[in-house]
Amino acid sequence: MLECRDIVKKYGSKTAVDSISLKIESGRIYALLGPNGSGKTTLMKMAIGLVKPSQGNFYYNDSPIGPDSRREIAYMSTEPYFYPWMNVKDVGDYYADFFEDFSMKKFEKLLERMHLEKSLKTKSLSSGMMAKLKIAVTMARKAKVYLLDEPLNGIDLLARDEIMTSIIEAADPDTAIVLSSHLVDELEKIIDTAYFIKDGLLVKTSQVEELRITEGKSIVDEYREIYGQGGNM
Amino acid sequence: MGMLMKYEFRKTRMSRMILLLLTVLSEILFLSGLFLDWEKGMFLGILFLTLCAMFGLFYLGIESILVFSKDLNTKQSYMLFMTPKNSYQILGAKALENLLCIIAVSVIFILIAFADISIAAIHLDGLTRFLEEIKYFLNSMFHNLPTWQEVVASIFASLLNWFMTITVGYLAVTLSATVLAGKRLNGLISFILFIVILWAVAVAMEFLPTLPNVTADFAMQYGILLLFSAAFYFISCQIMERKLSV
Amino acid sequence: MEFKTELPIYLQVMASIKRDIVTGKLSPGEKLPSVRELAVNYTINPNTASRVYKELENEDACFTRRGMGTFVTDSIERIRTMKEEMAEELIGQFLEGMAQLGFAFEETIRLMGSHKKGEQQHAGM
Repeated sequence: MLECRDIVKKYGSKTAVDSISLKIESGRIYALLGPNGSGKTTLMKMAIGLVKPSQGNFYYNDSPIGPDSRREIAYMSTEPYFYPWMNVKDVGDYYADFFEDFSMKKFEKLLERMHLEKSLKTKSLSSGMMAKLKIAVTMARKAKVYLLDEPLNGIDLLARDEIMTSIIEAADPDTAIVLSSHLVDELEKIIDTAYFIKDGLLVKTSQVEELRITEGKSIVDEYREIYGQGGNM
Repeated sequence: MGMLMKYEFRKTRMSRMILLLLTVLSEILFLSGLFLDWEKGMFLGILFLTLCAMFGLFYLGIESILVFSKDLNTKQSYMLFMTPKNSYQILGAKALENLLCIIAVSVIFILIAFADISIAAIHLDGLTRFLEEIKYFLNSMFHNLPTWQEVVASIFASLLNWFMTITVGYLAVTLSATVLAGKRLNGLISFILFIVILWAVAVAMEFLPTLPNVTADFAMQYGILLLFSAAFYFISCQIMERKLSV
Repeated sequence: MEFKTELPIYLQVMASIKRDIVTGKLSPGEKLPSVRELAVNYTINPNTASRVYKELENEDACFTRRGMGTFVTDSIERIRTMKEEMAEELIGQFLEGMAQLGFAFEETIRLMGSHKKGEQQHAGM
């Protein structure tokens, strides 16, 4: 449903994404894996149209992505991006104003589970609370594709479970979920397919459970093989 | 687009509240000066009201350009560009909200001026005669004194001119965030472009013929200014659609 | 639940459910969680969760009623054989380990006898 063909992004003389082609199909959970700076974030931003590719393009249901595809594709960036004047409630209202697939009921349920008060100022949130708010507001959409950039970055163990649960709950046969991470072992249990990105290149694609069945190997093993022990685990 | 405008309005709410507060304080100063026969207060009130009107309108425009720059160059940009809205809608909401705001603020200040003059005329017996005398004096000095309609029409023309300047500002910010991004002296180059474009527009306006009919002349001015504004808006949006990476 | 990441996750979850069935934590005929609930409970991929039920069904450890969900088998007989199969598997693994250490079957039995005695003495003290 979402795919890119020979997509390239250059920043000056530096190539951030180097001719990557890949496909995202519904009913599956994907991981974009690789150390920081390998090109995962740029690739994801091109999928939502925040970054314009230098060559090639992303296609959603066979047409080039554009503002309209954002009706069905939800994106969550690593960095906080809410307006400084917003509190938790304002964030929900903003999504309700712009996304038809946003459910306020779902949002409130997620907030309650994550112990986030609606009156909290976004400026005063700790990094863990901010990560939870970003996930809550993103997963409260009923999108066809979720692109989540580093959803587990800087999160304590308990919050991780809550975030994982919200992600798994969103998975269904019509939905695709893409997670990017440099924390591989966290995603081991929940992904179908891993795309390994290195220096802007797609170096390997692994079907995670198949890998365990046929080779008795985990993606952590794969990760070590690809990036070496010195890789950023 | 209504939703986008709602949030544009929200982003600049603070400075508008401050402007409103300053205006109310100046008005209180003027009125208390008037009714307490405190001349200094009255004149200071008039001075501050004039400053509020001028700097208020100036700052509203500048702030719109600053907010746009922030919306392109900081993480805040995701808020706009992750929504299913295109560049035409995003920048259109900003421009329209700003134009409406400029007009609304101007109308408010013109109404305040009319109200204050009327109150003063009732309160100060001599003022009406004084104003009549000024008018008589001006009439004897100049042959064709502008009517009040003409005054309002030229104020409106300057507002449109200011709005056109703001759209050039949008264009400069867009260029700086796209084709000039990462280049050396980016900020300086886009500022020079801003000045050059404004100068070119001013030169072009010089070539406009003066129409004999005053109404037609103003209509032509408005038309040309709006045309320029629309062109700068359109070019900015085109560049954003093709080149913008946030 | 902690998983071994190099073993297929569906097998590990199946083993955990089967353990619950033979120990009686899950009663015969009891309704099992939905695929999504299972995925959330174990924090695993939903496709993996659905495979768990498919494989358990193939082993007659559970059955699915259309629109009703998945249930633990109500055959006491099947649960008994399941328990035996699992015991069989554990013993096999154990004997294999002992063989690798160089203990013959009889010797292993003897060691187990003295181990049990030791335990009883321990308990008596």
